[in-house]
Amino acid sequence: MSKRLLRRETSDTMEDKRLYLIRLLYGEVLPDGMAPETDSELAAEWQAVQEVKRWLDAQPRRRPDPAIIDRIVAAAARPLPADRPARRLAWRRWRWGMAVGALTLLLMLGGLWHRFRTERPLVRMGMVVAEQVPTTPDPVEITGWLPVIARSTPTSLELTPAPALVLRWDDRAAVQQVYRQLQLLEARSTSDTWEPALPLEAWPTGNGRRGFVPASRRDY
Amino acid sequence: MHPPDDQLVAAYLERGDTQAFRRLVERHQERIYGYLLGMVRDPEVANDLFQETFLRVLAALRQERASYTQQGRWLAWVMRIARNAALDYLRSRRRWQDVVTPDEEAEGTTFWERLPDETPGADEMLEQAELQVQLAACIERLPPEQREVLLLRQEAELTFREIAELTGVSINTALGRMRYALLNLRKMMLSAQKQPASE
Repeated sequence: MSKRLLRRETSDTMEDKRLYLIRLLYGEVLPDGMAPETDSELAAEWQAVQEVKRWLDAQPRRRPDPAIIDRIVAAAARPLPADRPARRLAWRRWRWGMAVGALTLLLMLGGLWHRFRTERPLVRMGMVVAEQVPTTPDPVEITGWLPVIARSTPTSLELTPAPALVLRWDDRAAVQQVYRQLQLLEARSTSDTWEPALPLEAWPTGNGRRGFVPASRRDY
Repeated sequence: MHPPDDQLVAAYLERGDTQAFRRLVERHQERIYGYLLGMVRDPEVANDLFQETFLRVLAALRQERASYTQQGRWLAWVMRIARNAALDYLRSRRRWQDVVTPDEEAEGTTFWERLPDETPGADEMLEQAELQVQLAACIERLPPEQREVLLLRQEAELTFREIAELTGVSINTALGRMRYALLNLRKMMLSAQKQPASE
């Protein structure tokens, strides 16, 4: 185990030294006292890479066609689009115009919605009242907490001849309709109510006798 | 007097000084062209790519959002653009090579193989510079990753740190590729020099 670790450390160090040689070859690091020539393994590699570097350095430098340079400089000399700032300004104006237009449209739509929202329920209520006012409401039995609502209904509205002139929400027929709906709901919900409570003594105990027997009366 | 790259860039952008831009191009032409030529191995294509690189540079400089922001690293920035141009070309060439017409299939040759061979003859090669030609041929045979690092360091003169950033690898990977490139080159050169002697 320790031998393997030692070998890996040695090989890592060796690899680092070899990579260091490459940087040293291209002058990217300064010699830090380690002379590659002193290490037999490194010395061979150092000589090899130096030889190849000499071959590479001896290669002539190549240049592009001078006409290409002229073409590039001609392209660089072409002025920037003259109307660029104007286009930028126009673009800004267009953006602001669009924003203001969108806001105006939104406000108009909001105003229209608000107007129709307040008018429509009145019209609908008027129609309902117009149909219901002439009819005579059926007599209903007032029980439970509903009489409170019935009593709170102003009686003067019953005599109002023209339903269009009174407040629609306060109309008697409408109140009666609500009352009928409440009564119906109450009738539906009676099946869910609890029955009257039974005394504990009345409950069957399973030992043949009814009710609970106090401990003092039990005969064991 | 050698004004730094950033000063020349600023002179071009702020005052429209095209001579400053020319100096920039001429200052780095050998590095950029050498890299491109090593990548595509065709002087005509390398010229086209060189022009394409600087047209892209101009377009980027003129755009407000994508302007040159890496102060002090002009060459590395341009080399990134050059590398993209070279890779685009190599990808498109590979796409063309993949397309084989039925006639070519029957003949067993591709369009590229039927193009006239413009490489100089063996005698001429020997007369000019045998070593350089051999070296260029050996560089061509290197694996692409090793060749790219070699060209970026040797031709474009980027540092290994810059190469690592450009190619998206760690600095040790870049150094390792360079080491293998040099050792492989030596091996190939020695075997190429032995072959004529044995024949």
